[in-house]
Amino acid sequence: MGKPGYMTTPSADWLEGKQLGFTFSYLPNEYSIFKTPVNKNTLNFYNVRASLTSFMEVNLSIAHRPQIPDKVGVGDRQLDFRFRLLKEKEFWPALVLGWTPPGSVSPVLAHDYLVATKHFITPVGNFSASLGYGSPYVLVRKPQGKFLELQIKKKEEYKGVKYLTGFYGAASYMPVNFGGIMIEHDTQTFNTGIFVKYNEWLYLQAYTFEGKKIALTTSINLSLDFSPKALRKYEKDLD
Amino acid sequence: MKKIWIKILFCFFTLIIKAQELKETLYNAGFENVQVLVANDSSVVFFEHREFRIPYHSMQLAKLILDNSGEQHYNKLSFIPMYHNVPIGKYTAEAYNYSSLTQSETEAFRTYNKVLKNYRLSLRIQPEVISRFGFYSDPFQTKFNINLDSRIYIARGLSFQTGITVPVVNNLDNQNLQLRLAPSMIHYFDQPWDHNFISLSIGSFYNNRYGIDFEYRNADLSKRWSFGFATGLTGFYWLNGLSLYNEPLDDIYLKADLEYRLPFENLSLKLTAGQFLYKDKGLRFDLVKQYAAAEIGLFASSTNIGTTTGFQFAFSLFPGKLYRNKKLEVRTTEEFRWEYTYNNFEPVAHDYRLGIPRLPDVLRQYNQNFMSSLK
Repeated sequence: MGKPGYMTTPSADWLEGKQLGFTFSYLPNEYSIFKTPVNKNTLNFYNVRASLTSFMEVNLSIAHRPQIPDKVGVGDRQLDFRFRLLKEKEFWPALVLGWTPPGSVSPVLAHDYLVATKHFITPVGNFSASLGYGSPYVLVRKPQGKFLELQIKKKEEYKGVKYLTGFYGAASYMPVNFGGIMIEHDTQTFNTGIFVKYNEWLYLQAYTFEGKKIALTTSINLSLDFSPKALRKYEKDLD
Repeated sequence: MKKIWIKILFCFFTLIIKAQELKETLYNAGFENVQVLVANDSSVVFFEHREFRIPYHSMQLAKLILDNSGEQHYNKLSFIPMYHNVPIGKYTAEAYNYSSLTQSETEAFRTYNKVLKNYRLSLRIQPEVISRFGFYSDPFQTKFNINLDSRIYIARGLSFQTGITVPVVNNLDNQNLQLRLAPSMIHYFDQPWDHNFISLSIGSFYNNRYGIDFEYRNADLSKRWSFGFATGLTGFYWLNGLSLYNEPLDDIYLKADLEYRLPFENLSLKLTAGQFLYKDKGLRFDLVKQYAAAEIGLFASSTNIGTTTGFQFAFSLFPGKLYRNKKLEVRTTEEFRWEYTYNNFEPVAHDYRLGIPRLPDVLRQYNQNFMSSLK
């Protein structure tokens, strides 16, 4: 959902050399992040990811609920960061901290987590495994409060949000270099999915929540270190 | 003795012809106001290239062209890129080391600089997107215009920019969709002393402002610190086709900033303080990351009006050149910049655009540390 990861859970993967990413995800109402009595929370999730340094990324997300545009408008927006604490080594996993700056009056999408990911390259394909922990607490801005007038609330007690609270785990298997399968426990449900990659920049994914409902994600990841067209053309003509 | 003279003369003419040919080749590749000064121990190429956002790319292209222009080897090659008909500095072709121009280089520039003869008519396609999200009744309020404008140099550093605005969509406000005059201004840019830059604009700007705007910046392009101030006296204006509505010139802004380029990863920190548009006093903090193809920034502002955070990005629009001959060039803009602020109902630390990048954003691209990191 915008960040490198599995289906609904983020991993500690870092897309080297792909500093810009665009993601679209569709989540069915039954498994939406939002829980409201009206129950029309089918989610179209848009995300832009940009890396600011080799260890820090910023994400902007818009959670649009197409069934109730008259009530929520564009939808909830949020800005969050990822920090790479450790790079993956031979016997050591990569470690990433995800952080949502406090200050929102309605931090439904907020999530703070720590996740470790390890890859295993074997003759029968590539495996990866992740283990993470999402904070069950969230800082909420007091209604009509100033910018940093905050109070700590338990996420579940706050609008019934359960997304990424507690331990989660996920694994993927890529028998070929352009696709694979994955499974995760996102702190609430078991999800399974398949994905394909094209040339390291296009990514398509379909998965099920507990085998009951289907959800989709597609993303494009690009480099920002390229030359303008005129320069590339001249270089190409020389070769 | 005679023979030697003939030889010397011959060599001299070949050099001139070579330089002439090279000028032609560079001009055809989009370089303007090109001067090639070849001496035995060093060579200098002056140029302006308006298609690219960052000068590194124009120097890279010039270097490739020079390397493939024949057997001649250029000793100690340096480039002097110009911005708005003003030389910014001298950069060595190998390491991109910056130095200021020498007296003789400045004189050579003044002799050869022909503002009318050495430039094309450069037509620029510059889109303008103003959006406001979040209103429940109409969540995506957008105003989208395409500005087709041009900048004509009339004297050293002095230029005139004008064009037409083609409105495409507007569900943001009630400005109609008739063609209208694009932001038009007289602009003067100069480096009166080394590392000191000034930019003066008089005319109509983006964000419905008109008036006078002045920027000053001290930036030694080999160093990490830079500072400057910007001020302006503007008023609101509004064009519907040919009919003009304007309010008096009564809004003064004045802000000073200090910028530091971190010694890693092309990150810069900038702190701006002063009075912003709408007499709003306060602070703005920027974190800017430069890539070869784009610039991304995060910011936070706190002023009398309120507090906000947001981000901005800038990149040159694809594909760049659309058409080019000896006299005319049609291209997409060298810098499209867009800023998003969370607080969309209060105008916190507002600013207006000039239609050209502001001085800190221009000079950041000329820093030698940035250029050498791209090698």
